[in-house]
Amino acid sequence: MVIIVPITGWKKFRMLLSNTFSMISVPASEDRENESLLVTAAKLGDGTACRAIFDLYNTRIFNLIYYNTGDVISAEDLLQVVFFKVFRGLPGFRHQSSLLTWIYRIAINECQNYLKRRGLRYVPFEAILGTEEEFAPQARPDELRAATEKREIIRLALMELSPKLRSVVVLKYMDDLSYDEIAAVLDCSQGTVASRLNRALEKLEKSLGPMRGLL
Amino acid sequence: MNALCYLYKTDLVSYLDGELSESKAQKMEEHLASCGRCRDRFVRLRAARSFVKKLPDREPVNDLWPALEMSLNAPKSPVRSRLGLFAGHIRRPAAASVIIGIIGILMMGSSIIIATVRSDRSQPTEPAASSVAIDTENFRRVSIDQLKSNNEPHIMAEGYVTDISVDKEDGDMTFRLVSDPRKPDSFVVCEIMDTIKIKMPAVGSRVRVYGVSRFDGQDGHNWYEVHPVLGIEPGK
Repeated sequence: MVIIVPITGWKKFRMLLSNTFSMISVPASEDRENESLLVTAAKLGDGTACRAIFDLYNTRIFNLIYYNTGDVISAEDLLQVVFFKVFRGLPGFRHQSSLLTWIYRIAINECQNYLKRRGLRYVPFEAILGTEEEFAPQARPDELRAATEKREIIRLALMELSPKLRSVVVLKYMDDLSYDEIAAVLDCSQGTVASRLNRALEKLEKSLGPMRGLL
Repeated sequence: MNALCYLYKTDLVSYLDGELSESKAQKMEEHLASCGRCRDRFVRLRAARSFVKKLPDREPVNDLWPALEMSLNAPKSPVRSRLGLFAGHIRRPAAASVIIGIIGILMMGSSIIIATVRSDRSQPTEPAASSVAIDTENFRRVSIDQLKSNNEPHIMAEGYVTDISVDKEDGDMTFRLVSDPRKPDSFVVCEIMDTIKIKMPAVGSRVRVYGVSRFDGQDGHNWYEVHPVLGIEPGK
């Protein structure tokens, strides 16, 4: 079956998907149909469809990768690898889950592989030389520094968690997936998701609780 | 903590996240109303959750689509053969491999497509050259010494190949490109991703490397890179 969509149609199609997927993570039946069309076109090598998929999901996936790995440069590298594998593997995608769930799975696996290669002792570039926010001219230096330091304390506490616990925390509290969706991504039960979140929050509370007044 | 608290312990996070059924949520609320210990624990878990929610969403700094698009447009793994036209000098941990490629030159404007051929490493042959389907006009020629002042993402750097290495975990290959072999301090690191399947050039050969320019500021690095490499051809 060949799908031919005029260029103007693609722009509208892309906007529709962008608006739809920005609101919900697991598409309803109509959205699944739209996603299916997009995937079909991408499988046929339609560059616009591939770009649409990338634009729809790359920031969410980057967020997941960044907070799993801890630095922007590695996260950008991994993001490229993830989407390369997504598009190369698209012919094998059977719609047994949503496309986003499938992409999340690839991203989680890549993060795990990367973390195993990197080892536990690692200091990200930004921790040494600072982030972009620290050099923003608009805020007063002391306010900016305080806000950055607070976020850095929380981020480092998150990085202290094991990769398994960190993933569920990011998927739930940053990407706002439901337990059901997280279970689909991680291929585990909802009970396991709840159990990991429980342990993760307990550990975070232990590290950050004493500084509650400062954070 | 009594037995009942233990039963409710795991469900506390589910209740916090609104994932409990209505009936279970009601039972949880009844328990919390009568158990100070669980109420205290609920407050602490909620505080921990609020910490995480303070973290900002992060986005990529660079536009990653152009490099990804080029990688996707590259031909997949070449067909294996024993033509032996190109040398493979990389000592991989795995057994020796033979890759057959179809060699052809198609000129369409300034586009050049050259497939790659790699022979068994026990049969040294001519210096390697390989590239993927790229439009060389889109790449800005940059001297290795002038990378600091370059703002273009797609560049071509020319120089001599030194210091080849292979990452055993992911198969990515890197080499240094120097403009003058007598001055190895002035270099650019070139990284060939395993997924793109570009043949590694021979050490000492002069080549032109096409790819995406970036700076690697990781601890212990702090150098300019062509990463990923999208094409390599013999230098002039």
